[in-house]
Amino acid sequence: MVGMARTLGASLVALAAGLAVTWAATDGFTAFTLETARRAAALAHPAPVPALPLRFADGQLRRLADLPEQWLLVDFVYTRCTSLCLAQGSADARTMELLASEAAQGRVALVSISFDPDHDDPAALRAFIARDGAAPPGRLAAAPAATQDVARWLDAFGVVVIDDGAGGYAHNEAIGIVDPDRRLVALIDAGDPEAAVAALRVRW
Amino acid sequence: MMVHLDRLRAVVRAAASLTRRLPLVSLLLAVLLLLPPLRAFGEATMVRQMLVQMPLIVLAGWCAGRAWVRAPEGSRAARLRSFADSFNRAGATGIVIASFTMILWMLPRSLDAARLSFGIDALKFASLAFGLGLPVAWSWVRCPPIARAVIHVEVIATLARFGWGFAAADERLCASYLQGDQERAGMLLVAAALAWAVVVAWRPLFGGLGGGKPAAKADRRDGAIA
Amino acid sequence: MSAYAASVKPAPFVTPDTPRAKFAFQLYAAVGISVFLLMMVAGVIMRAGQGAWLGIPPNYFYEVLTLHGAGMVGTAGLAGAAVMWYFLRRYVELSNGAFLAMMGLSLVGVVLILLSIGLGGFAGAWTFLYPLPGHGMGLWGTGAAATFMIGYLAIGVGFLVFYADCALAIIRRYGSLARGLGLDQLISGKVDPAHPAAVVASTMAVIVNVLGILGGAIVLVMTLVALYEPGIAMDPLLMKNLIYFFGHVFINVTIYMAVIGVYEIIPRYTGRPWKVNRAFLGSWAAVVLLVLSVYPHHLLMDYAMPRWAAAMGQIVSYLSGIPVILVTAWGALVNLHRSGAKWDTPLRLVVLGVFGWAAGVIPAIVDATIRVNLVMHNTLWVPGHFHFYLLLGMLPMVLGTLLYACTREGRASAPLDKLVFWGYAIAGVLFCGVFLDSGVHGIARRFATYDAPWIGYAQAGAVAGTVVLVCVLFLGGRILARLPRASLAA
Ligand code: HEM
Repeated sequence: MVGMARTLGASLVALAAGLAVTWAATDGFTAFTLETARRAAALAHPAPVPALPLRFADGQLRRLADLPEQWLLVDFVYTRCTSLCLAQGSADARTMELLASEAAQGRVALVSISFDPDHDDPAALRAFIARDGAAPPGRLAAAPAATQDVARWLDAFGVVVIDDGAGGYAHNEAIGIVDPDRRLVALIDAGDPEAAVAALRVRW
Repeated sequence: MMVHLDRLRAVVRAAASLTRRLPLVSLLLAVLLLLPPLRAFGEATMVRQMLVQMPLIVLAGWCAGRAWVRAPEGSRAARLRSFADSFNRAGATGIVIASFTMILWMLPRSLDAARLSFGIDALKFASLAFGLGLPVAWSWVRCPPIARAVIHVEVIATLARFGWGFAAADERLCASYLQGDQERAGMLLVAAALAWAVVVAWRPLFGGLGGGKPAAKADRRDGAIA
Repeated sequence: MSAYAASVKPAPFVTPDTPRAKFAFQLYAAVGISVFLLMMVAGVIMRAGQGAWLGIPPNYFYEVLTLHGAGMVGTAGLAGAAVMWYFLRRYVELSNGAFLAMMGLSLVGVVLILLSIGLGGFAGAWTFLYPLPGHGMGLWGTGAAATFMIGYLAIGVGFLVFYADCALAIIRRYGSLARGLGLDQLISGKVDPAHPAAVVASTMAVIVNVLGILGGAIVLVMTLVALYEPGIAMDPLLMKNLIYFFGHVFINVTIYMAVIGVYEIIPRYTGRPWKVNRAFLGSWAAVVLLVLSVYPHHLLMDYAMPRWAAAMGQIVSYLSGIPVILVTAWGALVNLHRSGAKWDTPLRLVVLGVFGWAAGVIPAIVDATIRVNLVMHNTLWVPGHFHFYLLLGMLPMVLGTLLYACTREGRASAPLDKLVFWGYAIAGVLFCGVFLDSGVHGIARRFATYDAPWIGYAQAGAVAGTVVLVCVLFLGGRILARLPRASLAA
């Protein structure tokens, strides 16, 4: 009988502990993937973006904080990409179309940050954002000034880059919204320009 | 001739002592698997992490649990176990712990976390060994046959559910693994579920409990039923 | 007779007749009858609503439909299991604990399902077809749908416990499930006529329903995953296959369990044992093997399942059931023919059950014919055929068995009993007939409100349904009143 009571107690404790750990590990049974988790985390706890220098397509070194635009959309790319990034490129172009007037007023910019700085020099970046002619206003691209900074950038945005087994990279894609205080406040589906713009507009 | 026999005996003895040390050996192996190069190898693909590395760790914990269960009467381990046993009637507590551990480490988020952070991976190693392998070895022998049958069905269902989920998802659920890898892992999990089902169903369907021996004896053998 | 066969002659009352066992039986009888009656009220309400006699808002209709479907199927499972337990325990040693655990877990499930429907407004039907549960459109939320699925899971675990106990007991006595099923006798050709039909049927129920529940346990959790992780897009075809595998198997098995009452009760009236033979064993084995061999191909992650496979699976699964119905109906007729059996209500009910089951297969075959199915599917023909099976097959077998168990000592059959029996039988046939006829005329199933030309049918159905309800109320009352005198050794 002692064993019965003890077992009942112990298994209830184990059950409660198991539920508690699962709760904690899934943000209250809501985030079962890293991607969901990082998006939820960005919404819940806006974190400052790295104050590290980036080399922009114009060759200048700046930090994100140095950019004049109030709001930033940020995504991660590598310019040699021949697969998903092409789609990403058209989505970005569409986003800039939707935001053309605000971008012209300097209220918003879209910054593509390369995680492949060894290859993506300013010339490559220029070619990347100006694929169809010239880059529209507010369309920027940059790469970390120092290769060893890449990890910190990826970390800050929750991006994981892996070898795609075909000579390139695969990475989880999303567009980050960075507010005037240069905090990452939201991550939106990369393939959905309308959603990104809408998410930006509600914050204006 | 005599010499040969002696040698043979020595080999057998060495092998026997090795099996006695199996728990230690296997835990050591698990720790080795955590060393950076082996860890990178074991987690390079989702298939490897889920279907090779993690089962090996669980196996290591299971060996340790076996040793604990069989610890000689009067030893410290045995005394500790008989105290612990009083909290684990019918294996209930151990199975609850094991269920949570199993499901937690199959979540895509946990697979990613283990791959990306050494600390969490160490936690994974420890919990798979001591929160899954060990409790199963400790509790399974104490589970009533009906509970075993229900657990088998649940394990089969869980493997199939995760497998189906991974195979069916049209996006990458793990940031660290490619889509094709995920699909392969999913299919293999479904295959594992099927194989598990066939293996555990075979004897009840066709073979019985060790040739129809009284169940009381058969029950104590692992996996005797269902 | 082989030495093996001689060693397993039926020994009456293997399981001790304790007060606890009797209590368990009484609990099942009481719960079963009460819920059946309540669900029938729900059924009559639906028909009266369709017949424009009751003004039921459509969302409420679909809640009632969900409740009726889930409630009837679940109760049929419990009641069928009670019949199986009542007789199987005479051949193998069953545990009362596992039997009671099934009821306990089922009640947990029922509470969850009632909460989901009553409070949450869930109305996605007992078949919870993907992706409907995730699209409540404001009528129900994710939580309600999830609660419904968890309720089902609880019931599933309850049944697993019971079936595991039965499997274990059969294996202990006969060596393996294959032997319980008589597969060894079938293969060797040496059939032991004394091998209990109850054991054969129980073994089949165990194997098939464990598989069905496994399928259900998988698809229910996948439904939950789909509710909370819309990013994982399930293949609706695969989901549907699994749901139907689970649903079909579960509801079919209720009849296969209830029919044990036929095998056990008729011989007690005629004094002639129900002898198993090759045809009997062969047809029961066929059902199992077909379920085992036909359905796995639905599970093979075969996304582009060819049309012919679905059609074939459908037809084969119907066909596989027919031999059992034939051997049962034939066996019952032969056993009764010139036996001089004294007819009373339990026997009448059990024989009605055989009739309902055998007759119900005709509309089923018609429906499984692809050409017809193109027209009839999703008409009331479908509820027509399965109400025939269930209301006139499964339910009379269950009621007959319960009544039999309660009326062995000092039984008194009043003329009213006979009237009520015939009322039930005739009204039941009419009720199902109205469904079938509506189907022929293309009236859709699962419609809350009817156009004018359909209303007359629904009204006829409501009247017949009410008569059935009243008769079952009477029979159920009889059983409940005599429940204290129930005997496990009858
Ligand atoms: C007096 C007895 C009964 C009445 C009046 C009744 C009435 C009904 C009605 C009106 C429907 C909906 C038909 C439609 O429009 O689609 C229905 C569906 C159903 N009934 Fe009954 N029924 C009775 C007995 C039973 C019994 C005994 C069972 C099973 C044991 C049963 C199981 C079902 C099932 C599974 C459905 C399908 C629900 C769905 O479509 O989701 N019914 N019944």
